[in-house]
Amino acid sequence: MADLLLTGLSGLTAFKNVLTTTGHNISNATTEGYSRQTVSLETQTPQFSGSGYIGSGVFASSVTRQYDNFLSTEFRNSSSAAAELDTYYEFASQIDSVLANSTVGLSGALQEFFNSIQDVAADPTSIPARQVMLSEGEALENRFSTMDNLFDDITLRVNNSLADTVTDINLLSENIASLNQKIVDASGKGQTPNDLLDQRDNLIDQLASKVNVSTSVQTDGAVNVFVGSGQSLVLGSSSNQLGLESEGFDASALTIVFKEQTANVDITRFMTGGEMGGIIRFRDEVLNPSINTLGQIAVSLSQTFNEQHANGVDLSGDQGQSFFSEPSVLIAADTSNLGSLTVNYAADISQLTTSDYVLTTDGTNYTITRLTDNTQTTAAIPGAIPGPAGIITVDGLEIDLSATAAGDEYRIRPTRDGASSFSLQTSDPRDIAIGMPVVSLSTASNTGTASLTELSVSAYTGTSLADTSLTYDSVNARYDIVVGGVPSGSLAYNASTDSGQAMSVTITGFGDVSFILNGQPADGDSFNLNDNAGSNFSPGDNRNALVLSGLQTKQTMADGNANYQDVYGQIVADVGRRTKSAEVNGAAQQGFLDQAIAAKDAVSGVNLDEEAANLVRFQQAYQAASQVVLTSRTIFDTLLGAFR
Amino acid sequence: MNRISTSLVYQQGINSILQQQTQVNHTQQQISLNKRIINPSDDPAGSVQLLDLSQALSRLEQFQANNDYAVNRLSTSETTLQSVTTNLQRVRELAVQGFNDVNTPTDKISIAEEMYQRLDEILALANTKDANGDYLYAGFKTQTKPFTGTSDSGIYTYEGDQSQRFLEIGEGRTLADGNSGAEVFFDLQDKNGNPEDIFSTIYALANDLSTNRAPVEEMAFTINGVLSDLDTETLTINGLTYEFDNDGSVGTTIVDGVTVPNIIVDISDAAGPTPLTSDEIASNLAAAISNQQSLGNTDVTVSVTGNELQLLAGAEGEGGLNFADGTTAGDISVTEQISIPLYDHLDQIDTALSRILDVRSQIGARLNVLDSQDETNQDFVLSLEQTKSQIADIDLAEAISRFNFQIVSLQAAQQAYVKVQNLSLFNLL
Repeated sequence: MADLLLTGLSGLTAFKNVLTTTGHNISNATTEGYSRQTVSLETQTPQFSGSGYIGSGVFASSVTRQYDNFLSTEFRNSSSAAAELDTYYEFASQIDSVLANSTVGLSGALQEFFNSIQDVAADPTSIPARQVMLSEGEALENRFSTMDNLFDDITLRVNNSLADTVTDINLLSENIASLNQKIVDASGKGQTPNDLLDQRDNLIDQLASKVNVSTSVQTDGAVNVFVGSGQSLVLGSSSNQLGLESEGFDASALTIVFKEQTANVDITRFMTGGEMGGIIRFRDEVLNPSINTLGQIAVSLSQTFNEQHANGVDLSGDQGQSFFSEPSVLIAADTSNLGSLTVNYAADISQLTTSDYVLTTDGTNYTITRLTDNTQTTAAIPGAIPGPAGIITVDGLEIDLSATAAGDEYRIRPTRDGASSFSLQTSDPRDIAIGMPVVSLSTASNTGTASLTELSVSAYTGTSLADTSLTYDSVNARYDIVVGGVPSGSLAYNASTDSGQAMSVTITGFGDVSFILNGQPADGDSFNLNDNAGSNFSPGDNRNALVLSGLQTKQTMADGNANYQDVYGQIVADVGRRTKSAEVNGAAQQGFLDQAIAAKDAVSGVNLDEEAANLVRFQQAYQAASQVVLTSRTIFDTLLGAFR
Repeated sequence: MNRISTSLVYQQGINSILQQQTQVNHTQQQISLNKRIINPSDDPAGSVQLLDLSQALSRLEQFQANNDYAVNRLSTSETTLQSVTTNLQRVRELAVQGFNDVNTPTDKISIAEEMYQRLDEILALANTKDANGDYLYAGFKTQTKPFTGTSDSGIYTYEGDQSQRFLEIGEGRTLADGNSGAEVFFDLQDKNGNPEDIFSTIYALANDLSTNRAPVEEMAFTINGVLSDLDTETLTINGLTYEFDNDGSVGTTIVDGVTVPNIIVDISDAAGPTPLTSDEIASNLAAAISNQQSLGNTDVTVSVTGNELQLLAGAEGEGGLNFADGTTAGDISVTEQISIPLYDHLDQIDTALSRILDVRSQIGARLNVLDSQDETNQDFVLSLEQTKSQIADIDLAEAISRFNFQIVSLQAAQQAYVKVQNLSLFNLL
């Protein structure tokens, strides 16, 4: 009968354990990563007696945490994906809200600038109108630099975030490794250290929200954590570190490296998922394309505008100088290069892309890789025949390889600096070249009906035009051209077929003069083309202003398929689309995450009502067990009383 | 049995409230800005359309400004040319009145005086500046006074050029905002195809009137032949026969029954190694005619330019000059005309008037084009604004009812949260 006391005592001990665990559950109801614990009760070994095995009570065999490895992994993956999309969206929406903003975006400034040219066209001699055009040009410069500064800020924040994330990852890895050690030690005693396991799982969850990781469990209870393409962040009780390095060619572009004793391995492109994956994807998909596209617009605008501006003459009768600053191609050379590379924008700027390029050479062949689509072209460095030696033309770039050395590597970034270096070069309103360098005077004695209209000049060299005349020769149906008293060829003209057609004449040393001839000239009828200078100087000439303002809608970009605004619209749409899809996918991913949390919590989460019920239930069981002890005493007392 | 952890219940309640608040906030923003698209990501395709539309609209506004500018310049030009027309018509009236034979020379001088004044006024009109201080009729040389000259010298020059300024008044549509002075006032031709300008025409008219120039018969002929063709060939002018002669022997002509020797025009090559040129022959002929005039034998004055001789009869009117060409066809070419001052000039004044009217009708046509372009542009603006509004603006009725619905949902979520929060078994223990 003595067993009854022990049996009762075993119940008291066991239920106290259960109540303590319930209390632990209640206390940790809001602890992050906590898994509900339950106590397994088992019957004690029964005592043999003649009447059979008599039960000897209960004992708490183990405390287990309610944990489902599959659900936890699912939660981890979902939170990794959700964190990636959240971060991506957070960054992308900053650019998104700026691009179409009428006070910061480029579009409005472009429109105002081109409108101001039309105002000058309407009144070419008005200094105030010209001053407005300069102010609008300056506003355009400001707009470019505002946006560029904004992109710089965002680049800085991207880099800071990357640094923070790397620090977090390293810290988490260290903690996981040290927990691994504790767990291995604790597990040696035969019971699982539930709370340590929860802490470690929680740290791995946090790590997964920084970057995608994979895990494997060792037999001793330690967890190994892998990142990127299988680099081990945590191996048992030791951890490795990630680091940030400046890209060889661009100090502002950071790469993620896995630190090893021998050499650091660049694992940037394997960094998917989590905040880091989001930041890197944002940088590749939104930030860099936006910077390059803005630069592309700036480069195209200044190149095409300057080119046309140089075809005109200003209020002093001089050739138009660069209206905007001349853009230059950013070249980053590998430090071990022995040669040098020169890159200029080609004449056909419409071929320019937003891509960066990598160029390598082995002395006889060169390989150029366009980084946006990884198209690789390998060819021999051209010789002196047919063209100038070593010059190749790729995507609107004229690359001079003649000074490169074998083994050189270059990064060519044609549009990266476009927006930041865009500036207004003209300061005097009189220097705006609104006129064309040639004027035509028909001769009063002409008796035919011929007229010469839409006279314009391209490829103007800036030298003055010697008096030029076109005199009709009816016998040969042609205009004989005399430049500065020297016969300089002829222009076939047949009124029935050529009237109204655009004609072009190249005047050596001056430029290409184009015009439209109409009507039937009589023999000897002539037109004079004179330099727009001296006694013929025409300050009211607005022809170049019309061509300049026409650039607004001229398809000068994307291989002749888009104007400035179109290209800007494309990046607005692209960023908008990506932001939108990050938002939509983020919402969907949040749904998955909620589900994963619910599923995980259904197993591991603490339900206070349940615990309250357990509390009541095991309190009663405890009270019952104390009654057993009491009963055992009563029995013992009864027994003692019998002998009293 | 499905377990729900207590913290999940709270978290889900909060999440649902946060979500509702985000939606309410977005709708509120849409309503307060009256915009459907706040960021491009709200509608990427729509926001690009908006950019394109705003560019198109801004261009149209600029076209309208250009249009106004062109209307301004053309109207100024039209008003100016109207005054020119009035003045020209007055000059024409004065001419008709002035050349009437009842006028004494003094009357004619005073009428000519008014003509000079009208001329000065037309010249001033031709030098009109527009509102920006640019000369209207100087072509591209807007800072150069296009017409110079005075009624003292009678020599007028055009300093402008022949260019026309074009303005863009619609997408792909340009229009000239004026005419060059050369076209309006200068590059005229008289009926014989000689270059003329309005100013010297009026000047010549007034000059003829004030000097009381009589009508004359004029003849011009050009010596084409040379020595070998012309020897012994004759010309008869007002009864006197001139013979080109190489060897000193001349023929005779019977005039009124009397045989008289022909007047020698020496074209002999004895004087030098080279034969005389046609210019020299013309000069010799002119000398012979002048000589006869100084002898009182004929009332014909002669002037010579190169190989061209200009004969002017002293007697008034038709028949004042008789001419018989005895040379082989082709050796000389002759033009004859009667010059009566009034008729000469009236013709030119009418040419000038019709040129001005031409230009004015051109201007009128352009003003019509501008008017219709203005309407077209406005229609475009309206339709673009509509499209823009459809894309950008919010449907307020829809937005407000959505807003109300979202507020109701938010309140429901909040109330549900509070209710669920109070549910705990512990409260009942």
